[in-house]
Amino acid sequence: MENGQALEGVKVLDFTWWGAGPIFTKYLSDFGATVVKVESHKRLDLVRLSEPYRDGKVGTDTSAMFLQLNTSKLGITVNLSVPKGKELILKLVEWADVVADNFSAGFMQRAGLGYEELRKVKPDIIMLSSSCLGQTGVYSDLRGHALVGAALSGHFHLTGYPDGEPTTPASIGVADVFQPMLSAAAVLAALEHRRRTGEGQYIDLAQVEAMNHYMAPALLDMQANDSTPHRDGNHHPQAAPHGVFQCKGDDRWVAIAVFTQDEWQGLCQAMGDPQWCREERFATLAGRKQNEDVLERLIAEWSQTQVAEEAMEHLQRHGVAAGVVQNPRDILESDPQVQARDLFPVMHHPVIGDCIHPTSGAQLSRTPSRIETSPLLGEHNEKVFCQFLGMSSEEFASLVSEQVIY
Amino acid sequence: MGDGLLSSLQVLDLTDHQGWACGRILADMGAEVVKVEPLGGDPSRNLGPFFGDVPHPERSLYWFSYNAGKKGITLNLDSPEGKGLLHKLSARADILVESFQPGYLDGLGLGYEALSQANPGLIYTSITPFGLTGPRRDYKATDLTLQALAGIACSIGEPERQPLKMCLDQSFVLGGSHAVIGSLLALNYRSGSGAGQHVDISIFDCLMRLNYRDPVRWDVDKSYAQRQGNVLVRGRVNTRNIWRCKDGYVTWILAGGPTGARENVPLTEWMVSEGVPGAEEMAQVNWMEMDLALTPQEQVDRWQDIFGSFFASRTKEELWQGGLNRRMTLVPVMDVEEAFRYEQPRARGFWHKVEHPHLNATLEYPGHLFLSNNTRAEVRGPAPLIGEHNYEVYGSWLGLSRRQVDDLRAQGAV
Repeated sequence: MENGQALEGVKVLDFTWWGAGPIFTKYLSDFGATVVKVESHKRLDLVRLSEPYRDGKVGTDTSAMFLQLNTSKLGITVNLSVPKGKELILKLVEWADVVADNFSAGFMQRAGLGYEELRKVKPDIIMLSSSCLGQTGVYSDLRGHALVGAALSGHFHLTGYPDGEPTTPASIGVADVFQPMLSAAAVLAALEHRRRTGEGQYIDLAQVEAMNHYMAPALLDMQANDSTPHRDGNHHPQAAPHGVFQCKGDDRWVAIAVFTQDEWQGLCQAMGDPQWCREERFATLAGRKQNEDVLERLIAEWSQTQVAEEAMEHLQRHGVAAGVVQNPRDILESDPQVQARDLFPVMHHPVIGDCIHPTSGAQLSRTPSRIETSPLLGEHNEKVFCQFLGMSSEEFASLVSEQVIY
Repeated sequence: MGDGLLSSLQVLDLTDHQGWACGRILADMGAEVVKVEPLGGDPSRNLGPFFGDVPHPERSLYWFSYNAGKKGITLNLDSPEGKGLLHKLSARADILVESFQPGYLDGLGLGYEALSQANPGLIYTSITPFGLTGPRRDYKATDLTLQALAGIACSIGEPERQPLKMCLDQSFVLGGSHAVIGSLLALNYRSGSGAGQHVDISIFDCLMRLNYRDPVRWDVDKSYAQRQGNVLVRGRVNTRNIWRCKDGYVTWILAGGPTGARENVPLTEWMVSEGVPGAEEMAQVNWMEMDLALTPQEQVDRWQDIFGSFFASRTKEELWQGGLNRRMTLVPVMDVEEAFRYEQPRARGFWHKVEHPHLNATLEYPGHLFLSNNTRAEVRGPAPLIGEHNYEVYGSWLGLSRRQVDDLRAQGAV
């Protein structure tokens, strides 16, 4: 039976760009909200100019990166720098339930689109502005990106080899993923609040604060224990071994984590009970922690003779948490879990062609997500203005020729 | 100021550390979140760090972090009386969130099918390492093994050394946060239809959302970012993202075109004004026109050597203030204490003092999730002690007297 979608009927006017904003509104669009993404030829979402492009062709509609972050949305183009453009936007605000932006603080106010302006045309509007440092405070106008939240929260500092530099994944802005989860939670909660009270909301969400929430145990540790938490590679204070071990082949590794005595016994059995496993110094967690370097060298001697996937399965059969260090090729071409849960369905994009479309990270039994491809620049102008706002085709044509809808 | 966006919501939280963050976020937004623990407490209370470095279930700072503001009850799910109590509690709940192994609660007669019969509107959210379906659903997993399988570790670290995970248990806060999103999506659907549903959160799937760039690079280009230290791999040209300075590290990215010029022009002017060797040459570059994708890597590396030598000769504070004055995004890599002291969140009232009477201590917690004109979304109090709210919750949810709760305790149910 068709159940409709979780957010059917929810309308979102989406000014967000780059990573964090679009990743947030993707949680809404994939579950049935009508998300209208506002760009213009004068102000593209610059992720449209971000690799990879199909066949290396650079253009406004060829970025597969843009596709990844903007599935299931509608695209319109409005020139905000002319008065008629702003009028159109205010009509869309009247239509919308939610307005989202992630400009640096103050931009929407300067454009005449601050919360106070919006609530004049739509008293119960829900507006969410996300930024690096928040809308208030001395440094609120810092222009930022995904590295800022991770740098200012200790996330970078705590990631890395103990004897090396602070570090982070080579192609991902982690804060661009963590902050949007709170944006989505906030807007969904605000919708619930509005249903109950009729009241709208202005939400000011700061990336650095979001990251601090996700760093909370270290922040409390520092206060409670007068400690100075430092990066420690793959180690864990309550587990040994707890690391990544080289296997046969080029850059093949398996992660192994042993917290309990049972798991330790399982690991020893899985390795064929070598003599050294019975050494007194490895008998307890405290002993294994104390001799972790030696322990890791001995395990690596075993792992280097193993195929990573086989080692993982073998260890799992012995009750040990183990996982292959997979690369994107493994994930897309040979991961049975990814295939069984259809995490990257291949769908058609009119310019890019067949391409993976990432799913949403939550599976709902009654109202599953329905992923559609990402919008071309201005693809849905006519649909949004004529169908949603009831504009005549003459007026639409004239606004297009005046480059208001542009 | 209203009390919270979700102040009408009642939540049962049966998670361990893999899912704690879900209830914390819901509680911050005003939901009444009842943490249901086995007798003796949630086994994950034994995870550190610990207050005073003393391992004890009432001293786990990890537990404090993500259970703050919840109420705590104990309940023995293995006893018939305990199962009956959970049936009664769930009949009143809007959301039940759990992180047992797939099928475990089904085996106790406490799965979605069983509990939704009495409460068809129940939203039942299961957080598991790999989800409720698929060939790996019963695999053992930790944060480390999940970050490995999800392709995160393969891009962190030096090329010749072992791949690394991100710090702390980031997989689990990612999973807990997605559980909030999934549950609130289901709540939105329920408001129109009256129907609840089963929300399946796979932490592995959530990590795949984190890994937003490399799978598509493989799909389109048959390439991906291999770990190369602090190099940001986005396309044909690699740029550095974390830089050594005199007393630590800063973050900054070389970009092209008008976006990059907003950084590159003031930075080169700054370097010229301070007589940095090589800066004059940099000032000749037309940064507005520079297209990073069309610039040879050798040229980029040469520029980066000059920028890098400037950063290396200055302190974090000099670079931070100098960058702010020039409206640049040149930001210090703060350690945990610096992040805690940083004045911007402090000016926004971000840190909230939470009393811990049993330790005779006060700690400052990350306070608000966000600021709002008419609602609070912030930490509500300390995490519960084991069974702290047994009388209160069994009283207010089920109408049990203190005597009845005492009887249940005598039976080993509470």
